Amino acid sequence: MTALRELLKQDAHVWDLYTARKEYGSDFTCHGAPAIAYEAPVITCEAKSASPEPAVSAYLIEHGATFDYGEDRKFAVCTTHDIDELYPPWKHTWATAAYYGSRAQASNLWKSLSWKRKGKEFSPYRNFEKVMDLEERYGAKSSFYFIATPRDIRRFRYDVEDVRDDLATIIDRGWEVGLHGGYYAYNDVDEIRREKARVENALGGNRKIVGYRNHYLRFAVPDTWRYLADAGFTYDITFGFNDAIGFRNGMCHPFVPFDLNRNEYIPILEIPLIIQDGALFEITKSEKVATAMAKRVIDVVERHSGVVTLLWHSFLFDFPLRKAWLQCYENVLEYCVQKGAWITSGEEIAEWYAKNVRF
Amino acid sequence: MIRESLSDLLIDEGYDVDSAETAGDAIRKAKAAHYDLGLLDIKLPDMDGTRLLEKLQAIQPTMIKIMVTGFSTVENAAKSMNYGASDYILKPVHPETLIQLLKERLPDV
Repeated sequence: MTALRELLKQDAHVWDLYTARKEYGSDFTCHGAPAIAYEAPVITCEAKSASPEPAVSAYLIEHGATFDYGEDRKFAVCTTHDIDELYPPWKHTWATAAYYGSRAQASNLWKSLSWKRKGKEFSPYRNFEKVMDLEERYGAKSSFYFIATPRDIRRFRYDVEDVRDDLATIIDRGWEVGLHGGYYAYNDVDEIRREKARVENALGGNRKIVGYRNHYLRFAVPDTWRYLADAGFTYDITFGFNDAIGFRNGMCHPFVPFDLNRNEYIPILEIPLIIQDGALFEITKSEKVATAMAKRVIDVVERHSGVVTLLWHSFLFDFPLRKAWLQCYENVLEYCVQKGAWITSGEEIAEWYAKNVRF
Repeated sequence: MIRESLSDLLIDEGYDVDSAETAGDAIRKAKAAHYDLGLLDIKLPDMDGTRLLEKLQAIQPTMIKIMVTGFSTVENAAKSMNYGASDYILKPVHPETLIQLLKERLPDV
């Protein structure tokens, strides 16, 4: 079988999509910018019934590329969580209190309010064991990306050092800890290095982290990839949409990015983000519709033997106003289990790629 | 050991084979004679394999260069491609995979 990179270069249109040529010099890094109009359709508020097609991955498969996940598994699912909050902000606390209060659920109401008096370690959003327990029931593993900077566009989030024990537990159970790069980090290699070092110090034991996703999916093509490689990351998992579901560069497989400015590959793996909770529920408020949309995309990825990357924020596992989002996540896991997918962390997907894919 | 067994395998397949124990040795040989294809280990006693790749690319740009690595990383693979490698294969090297790759790369030999 011809190497993937050789196939890609044989078709100029495919190569342009793969390299995300349209994004060079674009302002896509702006938080809130609309999804760039790729030729391959994406599901958005305006195009709810669109059928996203991973045009580049489809081309690779048509030309004989194969992806083997072992044990007769037809595709993989990369499950991830951004840890945007460790402690409920006031808005969440009041909303939660109102939710439980209006339903006369006194015990839950008390729990949601009393943690502040008891101490930070009782925050309902320090729920990693609960998330892992749920995933374990589906034979899944995932990645947790932690913020490690005080600078943020909205407010101070948390100190990652507060959760040293949680980080250790996550690692001990075989899940992954990565960096959720700060809002301003995506174009600042020194900042990325500082944040990486901070998470690694919190982990202790000279443990290195390998995975990265930038806050708000801020990303500059191709510079962010270059900075992340220079900072020592093995993979990035930012490359997706805030307001759409689909394939940002036509890939539903991990890929090695190519820098058109320097005419060379960037030594990092991109695991493209396909389905994000926030984007999905911006398109529809209905759990049923959201689940159906997610299933539609999963079917497409399965057909191409690809990797569906899911992003479900960790706080919603304990935010009652997001129960529909959590149910949708379980529906999606259930569906992927039924289809016999390999459901795992970014770190394991990156290891699999290095050992099995002739890029 | 691996160098010797790969040499034997390729000789058995009818290829004309030469081998070098170190990067320095390989550079000297590349300066003295033309080679159609080179199999380069990433780990060498006197130099990093990707550094040797860079040097061979300068000496013999038309030589097809294939990296052999025991520890596959995207970093190694991407750097190898950037420095002029045509491909990379993982250890343990499966004879069929290597022969197939050589036939792809040297169809007329």
